[in-house]
Amino acid sequence: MTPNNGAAVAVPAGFIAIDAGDVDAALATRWETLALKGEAPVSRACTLNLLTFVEQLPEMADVSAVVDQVAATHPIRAIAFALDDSIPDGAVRTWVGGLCDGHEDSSHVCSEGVALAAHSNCALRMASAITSSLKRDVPAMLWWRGGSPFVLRLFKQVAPLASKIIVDSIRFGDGAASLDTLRRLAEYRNGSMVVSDFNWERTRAWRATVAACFDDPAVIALIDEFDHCTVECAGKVDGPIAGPARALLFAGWIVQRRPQLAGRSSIVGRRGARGAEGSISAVTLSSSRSRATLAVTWDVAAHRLIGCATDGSGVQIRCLNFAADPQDDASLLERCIATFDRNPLFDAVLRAE
Amino acid sequence: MATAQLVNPFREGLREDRATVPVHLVIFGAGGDLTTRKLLPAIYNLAEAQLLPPGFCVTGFARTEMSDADFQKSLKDAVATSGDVRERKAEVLKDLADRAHYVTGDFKDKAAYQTLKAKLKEFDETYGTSGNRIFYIATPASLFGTIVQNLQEAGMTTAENGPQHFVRIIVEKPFGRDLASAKALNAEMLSCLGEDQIYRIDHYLGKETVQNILVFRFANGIFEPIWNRRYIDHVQITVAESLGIEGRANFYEETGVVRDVIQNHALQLLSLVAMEPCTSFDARDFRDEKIRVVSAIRPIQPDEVSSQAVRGQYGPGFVDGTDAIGYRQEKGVAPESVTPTYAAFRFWIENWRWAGVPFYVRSGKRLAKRATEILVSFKQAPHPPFHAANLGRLENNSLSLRIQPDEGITLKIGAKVPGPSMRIRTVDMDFGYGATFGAADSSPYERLILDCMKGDQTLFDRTDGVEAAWAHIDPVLTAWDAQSPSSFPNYDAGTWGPDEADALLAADGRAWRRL
Repeated sequence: MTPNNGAAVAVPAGFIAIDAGDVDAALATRWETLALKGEAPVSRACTLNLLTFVEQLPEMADVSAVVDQVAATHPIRAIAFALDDSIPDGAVRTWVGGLCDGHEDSSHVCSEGVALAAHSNCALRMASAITSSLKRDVPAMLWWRGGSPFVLRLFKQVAPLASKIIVDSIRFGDGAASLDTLRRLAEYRNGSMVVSDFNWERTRAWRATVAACFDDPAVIALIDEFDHCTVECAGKVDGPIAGPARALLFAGWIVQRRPQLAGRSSIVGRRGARGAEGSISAVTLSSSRSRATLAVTWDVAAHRLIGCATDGSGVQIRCLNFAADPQDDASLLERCIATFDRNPLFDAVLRAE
Repeated sequence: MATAQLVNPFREGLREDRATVPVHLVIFGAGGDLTTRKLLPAIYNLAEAQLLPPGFCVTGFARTEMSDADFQKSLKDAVATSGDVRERKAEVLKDLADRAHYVTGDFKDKAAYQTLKAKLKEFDETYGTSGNRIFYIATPASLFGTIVQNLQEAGMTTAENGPQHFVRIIVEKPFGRDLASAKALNAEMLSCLGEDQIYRIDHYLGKETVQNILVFRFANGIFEPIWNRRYIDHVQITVAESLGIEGRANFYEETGVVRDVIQNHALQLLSLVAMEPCTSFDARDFRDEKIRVVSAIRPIQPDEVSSQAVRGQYGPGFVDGTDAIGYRQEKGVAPESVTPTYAAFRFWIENWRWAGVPFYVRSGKRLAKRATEILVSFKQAPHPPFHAANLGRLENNSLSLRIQPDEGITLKIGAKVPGPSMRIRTVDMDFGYGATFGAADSSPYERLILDCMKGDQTLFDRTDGVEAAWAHIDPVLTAWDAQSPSSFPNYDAGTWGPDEADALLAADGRAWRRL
């Protein structure tokens, strides 16, 4: 699509260019048109403003595709915004769309989409355009789909609009530095903003699996035996590594729940392990006193986790299969927007690390 | 048992929708209609949504000779044909089928329970189900007592592995066929089980829209101040079906509409609309309040039955433009049957909030439309300051809670018609579940089975709740049994019921809402 200034911008299909400041009016007109044609429900519902920072302007359509999946079950106003120097310095370019587009079934959820793009010099203008695009009286979450937000002035302008920020700590450079950024976010503005992290969500199935294994009486009976935890990640080398953020978060959770393992956890890389670099491939709790183990491994082919426990003599006592969570961005985003509440466990892990 | 005292430190703080504790689900009546139509699809949906615990297996138990492979095939067939299944995934179905087993046995044969017990123990080892059991009794109600007694005699009603483990029993409605039989059945079950082990299922409470009644009332401060006799004129609860008895003549001849719907579903809806706010949504507080309001319903005295309740039976007619036979022409129904297929009641709740507000409840088969709705009709504004000639017929504001289908909420308000004159028309403010959330309403059985796995009894009925409901229905059934209806059939299939039902409201200057 070519907005009225001539710059080519890959905005989502079906979006139309409008003047900044006309968002509410343009969306209202689209609703009325659809209602009159009988193509959309007459009622207009909205549960959330989802502000999405798009780091690279060409990713706008990709982001929209992810948000569309979430919007299929949550009526939202999705406001995606990007700073890009291909946009001439000056006004903020604005498009609106969404609204049941592409769905013949009029009972389908109808969401509203707003896309904003401006030159990187226009952070203040962008913040003002975002503010005026918000659906009133509806809470807002900020999905920061980029690197550390603290390096951009825009973040400071936009953050106060949202009660929750959703990030992916992988994008912060990974490793311990990314956890520092998470901690800064958790403490930002006196801790008033709730933080969700895709990377933390990616460990959910691992955490659930370890917990579920210990629901078994035979396995919980071994818990005092375990005095070491090894988290294995897909990596470029075999052996101990500094640790990607995901492994650090998981190890932090283990230690937070089982303080006896503090200082007795290690993160090792495994070359050739399936999965993206930094993804967890195995977790083992072991004993220095006996052959008791709890090994949770990732079965790539079956797309599931397998937790097997052996007793003190090395005899396998239990093997359980667990479904893996979907790890695509839409699923992670959906989990992150499910609640506005602070997750005390996540906060505790950040503090513990 | 030192291990029984250990607490799992990794469980704390995990936000889990899923059931986490291993469990073995045993279905009594595994060859029956309920199992194939509702339970197996619900269990599959739970598996597909990853809500089942990893240590899980399901065992069918029934008289019908069947192998594991046969039962697994019936699971696969049920998933293939059920309209309740959201998404069919071969790998999920295979994994579930691999965990499905079957034990053949007569419910009255004590030896069969020993066989079952041995099998369950074997499966515990295979699947790590730790001795946790849910027995889902999907059999005719007449077998509930026998099954529970036999389970107890076989030593299967208490958890063998210690107090951290559980044995729970789910029983289907109707729970008894009158107050006396319900009391007897309760006594029989409570002689074998604790109340905390009994999950009396009324699938209506598992419906999203039914639970939304509670959210609507107690999460929206705006309505509480007007939710009482000062502002509400009356309440109508309709549970209407356009279908007939669908070949279930044996069941329906025994049951009738009052036992099938009014005593349970309709009174559940009434209690949710009328209950006082509970201090918490835990099982005890919630059920206390629900039962309290049912107990506050004024008992219908024998000499009041004809003025407070109406019965009906459908004759031939037309439903959705096609011919429909009458109830007495249905296969298996006695030609002179007096089983009611329609009933309407006027209930009064004798408490501070509802004194003087009638609750009209109706349910029937072969009505004009399938619709379950609650209508809350508000009193008119005390003095509309408009010229009466321009007003036309000003309707009461009303709030409709649509339970099924087209789930949602509609508020009717008066609005000025654009133009120079002051003309008022009633318009709808409509909230539709589908249009707002898109998500398909999950089968109520999914929610309730999951709740049972989690040990949450909130949405299940309690001994005193069942008995309180029967106490209001019993006098009516007794009076009706004593006097055969001379006018049956008294409504045509495809209509909204007998004229007497209209007269019930007309006597109060009101009319049933047209659905």
